[in-house]
Amino acid sequence: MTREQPRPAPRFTARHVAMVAGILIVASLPFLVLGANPASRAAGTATPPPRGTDTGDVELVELLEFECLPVAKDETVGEEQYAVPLPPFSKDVFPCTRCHDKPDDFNPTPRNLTLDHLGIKLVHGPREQWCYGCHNPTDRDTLRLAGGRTVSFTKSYELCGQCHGPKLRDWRLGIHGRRTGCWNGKHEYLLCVHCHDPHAPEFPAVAPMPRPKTPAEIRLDHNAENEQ
Amino acid sequence: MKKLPLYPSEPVQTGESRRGFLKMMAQAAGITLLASCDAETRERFFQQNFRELSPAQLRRAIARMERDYKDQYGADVRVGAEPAIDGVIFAYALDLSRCIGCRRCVHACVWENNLSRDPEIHYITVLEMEKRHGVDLHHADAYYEADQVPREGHFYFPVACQQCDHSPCEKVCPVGATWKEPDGVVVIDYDWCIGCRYCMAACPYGARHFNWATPTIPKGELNPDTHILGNRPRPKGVVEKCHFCLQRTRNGRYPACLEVCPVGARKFGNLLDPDSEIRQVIDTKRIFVFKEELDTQPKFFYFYEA
Repeated sequence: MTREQPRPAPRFTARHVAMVAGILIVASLPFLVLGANPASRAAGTATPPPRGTDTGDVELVELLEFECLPVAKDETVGEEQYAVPLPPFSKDVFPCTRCHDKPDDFNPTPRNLTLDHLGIKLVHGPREQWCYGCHNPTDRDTLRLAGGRTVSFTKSYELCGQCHGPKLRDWRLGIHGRRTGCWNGKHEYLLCVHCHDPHAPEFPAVAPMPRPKTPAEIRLDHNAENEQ
Repeated sequence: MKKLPLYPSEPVQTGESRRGFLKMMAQAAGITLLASCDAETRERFFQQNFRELSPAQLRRAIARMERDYKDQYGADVRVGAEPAIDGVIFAYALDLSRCIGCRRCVHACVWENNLSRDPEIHYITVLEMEKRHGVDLHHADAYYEADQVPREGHFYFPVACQQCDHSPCEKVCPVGATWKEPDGVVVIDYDWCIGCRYCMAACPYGARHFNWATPTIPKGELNPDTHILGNRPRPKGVVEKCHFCLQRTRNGRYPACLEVCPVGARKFGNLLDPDSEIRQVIDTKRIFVFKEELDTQPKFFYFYEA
């Protein structure tokens, strides 16, 4: 794989590693909550859900780790030079050419895969869409735009932007996507695929955190304290 | 009708009088009391409004607070007093089409800002509204419970302090304990607040909260990074509210609610910087403010992704 963009400065990389780690932890929280505490999902209307901060501390500790370094205003990156962290590949999957090493050996017929990549279920775009709509059959380490141009995985946003133009525009402006770090620092960018699974981009629904107490409940608490 | 004499019939007393005696006694008692207590108590009693503190007084007040919190919570608390940054006015924007109502922001705020766990105070209220009614407070529920959010046919409308430019709360405060800082954040001097709660009545957003009892924060959960006008632990009997995480934002960081938002619905930045994220939102999205008809001029903007 050829890197098409200048390598970011070491400080930048380290910060991004921390950022991605933070985001992974926070992103996995809904699942931790669902897995660890099924009671909170099944909370009825009569009793308020359990109020715990066990899940929250993880988030907060991660959030407090950030160090903000003032960055000079004129360091803004040019339009095509986004310094982004590396794509979040599944373990041991990249480079793809390790297995797909013969450029001409591919079956262009859309079908369900039965040998490998069984974990991938494509729920994205029209039904005609399948692997080679995005992946480049002749060089698996790259992606292929609709017009035939290839792009590297580090610039996958170009591919996404073919259909999601307004989102790409907003992302370039710095107003699409999660933000962590500093409001007055250099704009930092994650790839689309850091948050959206490209094969199934819809976010799963999550369990909400505990609701506030109603005035009636506060009154009950207060009366109970007085009786003690 | 009896006419009142122009001059008192008795000559004016120039020497002792009952009133003079009592006055003198009261003064003496006061001086004795003040002299008998230590310098710290004296200073605590005479502490000025935050805006009138000299640098030396501010330093002493901060040292005193840090000692107090050490005793109270057993933690080394940093009470910062970073002033507003020149050329910065903070503003916030929230994308209603993204918010899924998961309340992560509500609880991140509680932990970050040392909010009382019991009695419970939340700065952010997430209202569940019905899509067919739009933004309508008659069809809004702050106490929704669900296995999964977002729920079909609903959208979510988080409300906290709107940091109004024409802030009604500031106007009604009888003692000047709340004011707008140069960076646009409406703050409260917790030592100057008398707890009359006029500001709570004046606020059209329900953004101000009163400490009916001494706030409880479990010992290990105190956030030790605080700001004197922000998230330092509050005493009983004062009003508090969202302050855009002054302890973070005046040091360049994002507010806690923004960083925790799992869908990236929250945007924050400097209103005076044309390249800032908040200005990009204002320039490219159709934004609106909550209860615009009241002319409170909020610095909190809502928008829908179009």
